[in-house]
Amino acid sequence: MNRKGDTGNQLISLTYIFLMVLIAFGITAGIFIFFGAEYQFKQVDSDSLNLKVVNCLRENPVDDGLFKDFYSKCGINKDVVGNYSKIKICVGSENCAGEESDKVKFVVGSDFQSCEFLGVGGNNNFAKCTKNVVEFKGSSYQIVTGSNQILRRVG
Amino acid sequence: MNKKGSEEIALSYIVYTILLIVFAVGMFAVVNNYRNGGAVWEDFYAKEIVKMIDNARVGDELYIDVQTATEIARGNQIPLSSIFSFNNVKNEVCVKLATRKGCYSYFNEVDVIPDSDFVLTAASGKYVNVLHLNITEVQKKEVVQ
Repeated sequence: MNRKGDTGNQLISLTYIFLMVLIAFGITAGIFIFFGAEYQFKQVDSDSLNLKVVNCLRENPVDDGLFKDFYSKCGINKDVVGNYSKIKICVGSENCAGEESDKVKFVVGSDFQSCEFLGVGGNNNFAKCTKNVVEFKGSSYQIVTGSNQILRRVG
Repeated sequence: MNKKGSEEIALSYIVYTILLIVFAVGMFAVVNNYRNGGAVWEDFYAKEIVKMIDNARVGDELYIDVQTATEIARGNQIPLSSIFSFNNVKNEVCVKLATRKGCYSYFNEVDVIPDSDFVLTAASGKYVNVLHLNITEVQKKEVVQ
């Protein structure tokens, strides 16, 4: 096959594709700038989950049985929390997010340290967290919840 | 007559045309999803409904004003019956106001049973469409409205 002089054609093709990518990027960026970021909901999601856990601890005897059968006793869906949220419950701890001792009574999810980052408040890429301290029968329970769920586009 | 050269030129035009069509279709899909603010309102409704479900208890009935959603869906030729769908197996609410639908999950372990039709309710001197949801015990039966 005679490929002499093909370099010029290939360069034109690259220019054509580059222009289309540039236009596509421009249109997409324009749409997202005009319509703005998505509806902020992670903090509300995390607050609701925290409230649900606190109510669960109030309505059930707080013992090892509760933490063994946490999801069914608290009426929380295991898959949804496992995929999009996190929960950590500590007793008698000053800093539950960073706690790793036997003061941790229940934990699902990871990266609780990011809840302590100062920059998290303004960065929606991080999970949003909620911390709550409640007293039961002389013990102090610290509950940390977080949500990192975003809207999924399907179809 | 040299036909080889003209075949190559024709081939390059076909490739360019195909690329242009793929590009145009892709761009149309992105832009169309935002027509009448559909994608933005999908986001809003899915999350607000999930908030209500997460804070509900078994036996609660939820009434949600969805007038704006129905107006947008009508403008985008989306059938009213396919705007909201509830998947009790996945604990998921989906809202479709444009070409694609937006889904969000609720952690509350309940089932959501929607009415098959919207309820027409008077609010502020005019009638609005209201979505009526029943919160029930978990049966894990898929419900799609």
